[in-house]
Amino acid sequence: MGVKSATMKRPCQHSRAIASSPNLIHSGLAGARDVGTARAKCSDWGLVEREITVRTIALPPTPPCYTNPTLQPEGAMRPRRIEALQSILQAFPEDPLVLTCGATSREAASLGRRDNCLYVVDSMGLVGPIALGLALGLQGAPFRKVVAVEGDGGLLMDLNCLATAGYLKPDKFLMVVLDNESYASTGGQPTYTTNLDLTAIATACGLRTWACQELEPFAQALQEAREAPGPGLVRLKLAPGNERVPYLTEDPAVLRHTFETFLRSAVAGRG
Amino acid sequence: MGQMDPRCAAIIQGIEAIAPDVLIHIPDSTVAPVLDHFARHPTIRAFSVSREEEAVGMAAGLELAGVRCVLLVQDTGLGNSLTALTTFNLAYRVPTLLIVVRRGGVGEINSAVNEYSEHVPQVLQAAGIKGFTLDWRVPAERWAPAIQGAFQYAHTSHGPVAVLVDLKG
Repeated sequence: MGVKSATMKRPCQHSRAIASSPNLIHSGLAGARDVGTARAKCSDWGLVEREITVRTIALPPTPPCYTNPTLQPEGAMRPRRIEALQSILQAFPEDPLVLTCGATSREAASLGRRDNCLYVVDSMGLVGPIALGLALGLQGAPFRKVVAVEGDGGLLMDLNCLATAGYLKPDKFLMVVLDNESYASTGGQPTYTTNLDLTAIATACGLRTWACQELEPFAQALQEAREAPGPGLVRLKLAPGNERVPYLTEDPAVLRHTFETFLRSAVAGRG
Repeated sequence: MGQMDPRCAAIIQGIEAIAPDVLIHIPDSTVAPVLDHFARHPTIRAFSVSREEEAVGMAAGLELAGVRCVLLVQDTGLGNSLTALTTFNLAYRVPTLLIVVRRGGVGEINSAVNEYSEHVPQVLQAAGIKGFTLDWRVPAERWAPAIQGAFQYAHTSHGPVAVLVDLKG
């Protein structure tokens, strides 16, 4: 793991020249320290020229950047999201999948459009409730599961859905949480799952759970979850980061129509 | 229905005329008789959820599954669901009927509620969500057909429709 050792030594401090600020905390630079000052001239919109003090400061060590796997050695060893999506698509070729927004939907679509996929291009946190409604409504339909493919950030935006799933117990509800411990689609800010176990929460809500770190056990867990009765949750720890794939720019009504047509024909054909 | 407020009775009639499979609601004292009625309904499954956006998402899933669903929420919490309503139910053209119990305005006793609730009609309009109000100006006997018509309207216009019901006047 040459990358690992190299990136561990990578300096985290950056220097930046800023205009003098009376309060570094209020300027959002808590922990910064002065390393030098200089005088310089500047003009306000070219109207008034004045002399200011420019301070060169050293920023405190930054928190880990979760957008780049090479900065998080442990995460870099984990599966990539697109690999996990491939496993999910293989495990559920004929069951309804509701895919969360941002990079997850885009990466899934990049693996080949599938009519059984509902690509939710926004509405962060809504995948769980949508899949819950589908699972309740498709109780008698010839599907093994309705699969909500959610991220850790998305699930944290609506943890309620786990309580609701545990209360209503829709037999076909399965949530797969792709947990990269970050809001990867919005720049990689860390989520609570750096030290919070979503499977423990789901278990407490009455869901059957599987916690995975690698692709092979994950594929096995998906097989088990597919056959297991009652609502369930499979969580896979992932490497952070997104793939470079095209945006989904269709009219959402078209995305819905494709998925709805799949549901109708599957129910009619297999019913 | 005993001494029940005729407008609560009208809401019940309107929902029963729709004959939904599912009624999802938020806890609400104003229409408690309605919720009590459907809690023990023989054919309509009623349950509460904790947040309005969750109700909106579940309603969308049920609708996609071909299940008839009605939502009963308060206008105070409607703001919680605006992003879900606009980015999913509206953008994906999912018919959704929301019966929205009015709180703000004349007759409201909670002074904090007015700041948001009074503006809900304008908020809905700005968000592009169709809606109309049933209040003291509309005879109670007109409420049930209006609620039933709103459900049909949500399906013919392929999107969310809100019926604001004001029981305070």
